[in-house]
Amino acid sequence: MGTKEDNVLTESQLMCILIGSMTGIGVLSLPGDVIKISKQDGWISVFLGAVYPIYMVFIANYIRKKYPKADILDINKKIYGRFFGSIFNLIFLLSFLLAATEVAAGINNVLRIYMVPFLNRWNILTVLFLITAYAAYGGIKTIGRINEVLFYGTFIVYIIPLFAISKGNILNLKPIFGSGALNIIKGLKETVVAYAGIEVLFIIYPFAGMDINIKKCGLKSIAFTSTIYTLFTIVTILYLGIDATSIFLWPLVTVTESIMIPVINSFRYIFSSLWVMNMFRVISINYYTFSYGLNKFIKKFDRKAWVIILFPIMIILSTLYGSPTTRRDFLNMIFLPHVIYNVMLVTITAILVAFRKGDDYAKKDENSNND
Amino acid sequence: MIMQKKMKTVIMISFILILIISFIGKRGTLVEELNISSMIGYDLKKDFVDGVNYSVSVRTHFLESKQQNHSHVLIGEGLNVGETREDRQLKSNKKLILGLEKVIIFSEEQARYGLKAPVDALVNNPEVNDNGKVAVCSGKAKDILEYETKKYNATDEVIGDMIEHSNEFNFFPEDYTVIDFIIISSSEGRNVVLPYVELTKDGIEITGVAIFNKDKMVGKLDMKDAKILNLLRESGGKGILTIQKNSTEFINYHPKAKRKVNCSKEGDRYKFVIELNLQGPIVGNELYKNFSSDSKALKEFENEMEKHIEKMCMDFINKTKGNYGVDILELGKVAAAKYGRGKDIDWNKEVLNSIIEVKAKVKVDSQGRGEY
Repeated sequence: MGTKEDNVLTESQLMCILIGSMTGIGVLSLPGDVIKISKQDGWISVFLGAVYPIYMVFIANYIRKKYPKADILDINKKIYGRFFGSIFNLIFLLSFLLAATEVAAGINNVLRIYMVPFLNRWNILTVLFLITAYAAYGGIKTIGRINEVLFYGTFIVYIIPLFAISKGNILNLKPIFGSGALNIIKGLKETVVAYAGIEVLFIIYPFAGMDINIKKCGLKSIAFTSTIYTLFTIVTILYLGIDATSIFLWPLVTVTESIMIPVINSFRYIFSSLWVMNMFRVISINYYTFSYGLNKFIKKFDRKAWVIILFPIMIILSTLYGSPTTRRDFLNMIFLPHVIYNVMLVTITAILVAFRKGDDYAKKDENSNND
Repeated sequence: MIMQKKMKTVIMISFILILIISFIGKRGTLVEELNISSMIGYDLKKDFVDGVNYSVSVRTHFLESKQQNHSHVLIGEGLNVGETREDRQLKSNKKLILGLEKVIIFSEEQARYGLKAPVDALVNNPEVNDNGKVAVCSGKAKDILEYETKKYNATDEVIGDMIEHSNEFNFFPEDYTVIDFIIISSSEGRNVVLPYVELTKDGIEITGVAIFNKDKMVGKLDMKDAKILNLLRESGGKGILTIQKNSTEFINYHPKAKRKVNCSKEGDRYKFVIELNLQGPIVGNELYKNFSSDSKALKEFENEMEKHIEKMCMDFINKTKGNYGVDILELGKVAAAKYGRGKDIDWNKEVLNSIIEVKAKVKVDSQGRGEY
């Protein structure tokens, strides 16, 4: 690409992107998934799940120190060679495609149950991807601004479920640690995937200026996300209890229905529509990242062309997930291996980076940019 | 440059086209073309040897009617809950829409047979109003739905309002909604209690409570016992407690009751101590002399009231202990929270074997403006 897109993200934009990328549609069902395994201690599992993003942030910070201007895709190509590097990169990039399409499919399922049963899935998905593709087309600067605006604009969405705390029963949380340490650890398998999305940091850190401390930024966004996740899980346990949570496919939506305010028939419409706006952030981030990565993979089309090419592909892939249960089964099967792959890839890359001479590569990078 | 401009036009046109195509077609319906439900009733007929016949009635508003609150009842019958919808549509002129129903009524026969199938249908349907009230009725739910209350502005909402405001007296709790039923009936160590309404010659009345074991009704308590049950079981209810010597000597007390349960283990039996904290004003006093000037009389009343409540509650517990085979006081919930969940313990059995004590603490916070 001719245009240079560095130093474009401010600190708060980077933070909002990371928060937006992590809080996906999964949080609506997260309490249900984790309570099945770690019972009333599910919230501890949710909180501990933050180890994964924290680890990723530290690795990203380390790699960035060595190569501030190159993202992981470039580094992988240099380290593993053109062929293997590209394959590793492609698998790494697939997680963004997966995230964009599964969130879209999830929104589609939730909306058609709770809000707009009269629309068909093609209508919802086309419009959904039209908006997000437009954002992705605009580039990282647009994405950063949208995230910032939507984060503050829809901040109330993080607070709405917490109102249900007044209807909760503290006995539902007891006995604390009653399900056993083993079950709490087992629950991590469900909760770690809820933090998936932090991988985007490895691709967007070159866009942040050198004066921005991405470690601080990343940890702040993780602290926010894990607090929200933990509070949502606690509220769900307090209100529904561990037995009734398993009845509902999206327990968190049921929690928001309990809030009674005169005139407003049901709070779930307000919550769902604001949450969908948040989902635009997730999809646009992943859409952008995937098209950006593909451009590095196949240089023939530029990033904007990839956004347009991906539009129909994204829609068609999103329809393939099917009903909520088949979608969840598929994601359970694919998400955890992918998370493990991502962890292994960045760890090995970081180790290899440590053994290589950073200056050497930086020079080469400059040369190649000048071509 | 020209290429880029051309590209932009193409993108713009396809953008608009996609939007237009997405919104072609019929969407939604007019309010005039809908039957809006205000009340649902579930009846059950045991028609043949091993089968049942569901009959689900829905009371709907007539929107184009000149009369205020004009409504009528649509009845659907079938061998299961789903088929009743098909049958109901055959008798109905419009599309039925749920979401505004204020109350859902189960007939006693349906409740004793089990509410699993109807409640499953309610959970499945996202349109259902989770905050609608639930009640059990004697006889047929259909009769209650068809009953026209005279001189009452909103005929449909009589029962819903009745249940909603029952918490002013008799220590009724606020939570008799659909979602509460779902939560309580599926939670460990908890059992549902629902208000029991009857169509008497004076109109519709709450005459007691229905006791459930999971989703099946197992018994009914009359209002006198129901009040004590509410006092022991719920926290935050209000009601009138009376010490009456004879028709001229009595004292009424209108407290708000807070319940706290302590659970311990003695050997392999559980021991529960129910602590009741009551606080409220005196409604009327015809028993004590110099009540507003003598603080000793107040103290005496508090002591006597505590003894009265403890005796009343213990009598109730001893009387009902073996009757239904159910832990009606929800003590299993407290024990489960202390000694661990999910261990396949039958809390109904454990609680019935346990020692239960009641401790009351009475406090008068106001004596009104004076004494006559």
